Amino acid sequence: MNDDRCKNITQTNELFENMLDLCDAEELAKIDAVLHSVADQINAEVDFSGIKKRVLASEQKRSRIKQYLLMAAAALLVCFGAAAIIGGVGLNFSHHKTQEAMNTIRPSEVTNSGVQGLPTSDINPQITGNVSKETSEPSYSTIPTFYTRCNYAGIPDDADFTSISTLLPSELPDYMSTLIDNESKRIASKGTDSSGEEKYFECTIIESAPYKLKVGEVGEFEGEGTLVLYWQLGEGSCLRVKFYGFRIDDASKMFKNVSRKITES
Amino acid sequence: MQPLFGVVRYINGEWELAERNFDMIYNDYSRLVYWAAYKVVSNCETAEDITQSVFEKVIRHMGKLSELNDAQLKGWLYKVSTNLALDTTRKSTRELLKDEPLGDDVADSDALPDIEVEDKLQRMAVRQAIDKLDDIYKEVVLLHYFSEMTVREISQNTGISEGTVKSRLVRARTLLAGLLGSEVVYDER
Repeated sequence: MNDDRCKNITQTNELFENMLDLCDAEELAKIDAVLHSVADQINAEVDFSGIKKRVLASEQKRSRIKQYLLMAAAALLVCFGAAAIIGGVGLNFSHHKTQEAMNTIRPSEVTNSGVQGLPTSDINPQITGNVSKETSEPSYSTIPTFYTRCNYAGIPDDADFTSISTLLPSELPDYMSTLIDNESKRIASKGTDSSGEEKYFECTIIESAPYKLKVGEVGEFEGEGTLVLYWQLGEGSCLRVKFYGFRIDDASKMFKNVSRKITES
Repeated sequence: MQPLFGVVRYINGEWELAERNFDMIYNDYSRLVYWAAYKVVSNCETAEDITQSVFEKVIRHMGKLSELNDAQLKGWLYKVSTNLALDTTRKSTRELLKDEPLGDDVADSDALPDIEVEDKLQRMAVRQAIDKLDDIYKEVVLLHYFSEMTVREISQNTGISEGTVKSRLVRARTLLAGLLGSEVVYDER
C-alpha cells in the first residue's frame, strides 16, 4: 500500500512537472475561481438543514430516554426504601415474637456443638432409703468443651425454691423411686425398667454452670441417653437437671414441663 | 483578542459579542465537519452520518466547547470528524462505496435548462477530478475550498507547515486544471 501511494505521488508529481509549463498564473486563478464556485454549489446540494434536524431530534430523544431512566431509578429507590422500612418493621415484630417464644422453655433448635465427650452411663448412685446419703453422680469420661445447645429460658420470678420437690417431672415412670435431700437443694429419682435399663433423674440448685451462662440462659450437654441442663436462675443460683437413660426428646419434654412450673408459679 | 465565551459578530451594523450557541456553531462549522469526513470516506451519505454524530457530541459538550475560541473549536471539530471517519472506514466490513461517477441522471435531466445541466455536469466533473487527486492534495482542496479553512487553520489542524499547505494547493490547482481540461467552463457570466 505504501508502495502504491509512493507510486501515485510519483506519477502525480510527474504529471505536475509536465503541466507546470502549461499552467500559467491566469489558468491557476481561473481554476481557483471555479473551485470556489463549484464548492459553493456542491455545499448547497448537501442537506445540512436535514442533518441539523436529525441532530436535534436525536438529542431530544436522548433527553427523553434519560428522563425516563432517571424516573425509573427514582421509583426503584422509593420501592427499595419502602421495602426496607416494611421489612425492618416486620423484623422488629418478628423479633418480639421470638423473644416471647424464648421466654417459654422449649428444647433449643440451635445446636452448639462442642461436646467432646459424653457423660458415661455409669449411673450407680448410692441411693437407699436413707435420704441423707449422698447420691454419687456419674463420672464424665471426658470434659466437654462447651454446651451442646444454649437457649434462653427466662428468669423465674422466685429463684429461691423452698420446695424443690415441685420440680420432679410428673412424667417419670412409676418404677422410679424418689429421693429428696433434706436441705431441699436436691431431688433425685432412679429406677430400672422392664428391660433392665436404668434411668436416673436429678435436680439440684448449684452456684454456677461449668461454662458461664447469662441469667435466664440454659446450657445443655447431650450425649447418648444423657441430657444435663444448667439453668442460670440468678446471680449465684443455677438449677442443674440431669436425665440418664431417657430418650433425649422425652428428657427435653420433661425439662420443659419443669421449667414451666417455675416460670408460671 | 478572541473572547472566550462568545464570538464577535457583525450584527445590525455593529460588531457585537454574541454568545456562541449550538445554532451558531452548526452554521459556522457544519461544512468543515462534513468535508473533513468526506475526505476520508469519499461518500456523501456516510459523511452526512458522521456530521450528524459529530454535532450530537457538540450538543453534549456545549459547556466545554463554549469556552474554546474559534481556532480551538475548529481544531476540535476537525479532529473529531476525522477520527470518526477513520473509525467508520475501519469498522466497515465492506468497502465503502465511493460516490458514483457521472451517470445517466444528468443525461436524463431533459427538463432542466441547458445552463443548469451544464452546471451540474461541471460539478460532477470537478468532484470526480478531486477524487482522483492523491490524498495529500485532495485534503487541502477539500479543507480550503469546501470547508472554507484558511491556510493557517489547515496548517494548525493537519500539522503541516503553512508553506507546504500553500505549495500543495498550487499543485492541486494545477493538477485539477489538467484533469478537467475542456470540461471546465470558466464562468464568464
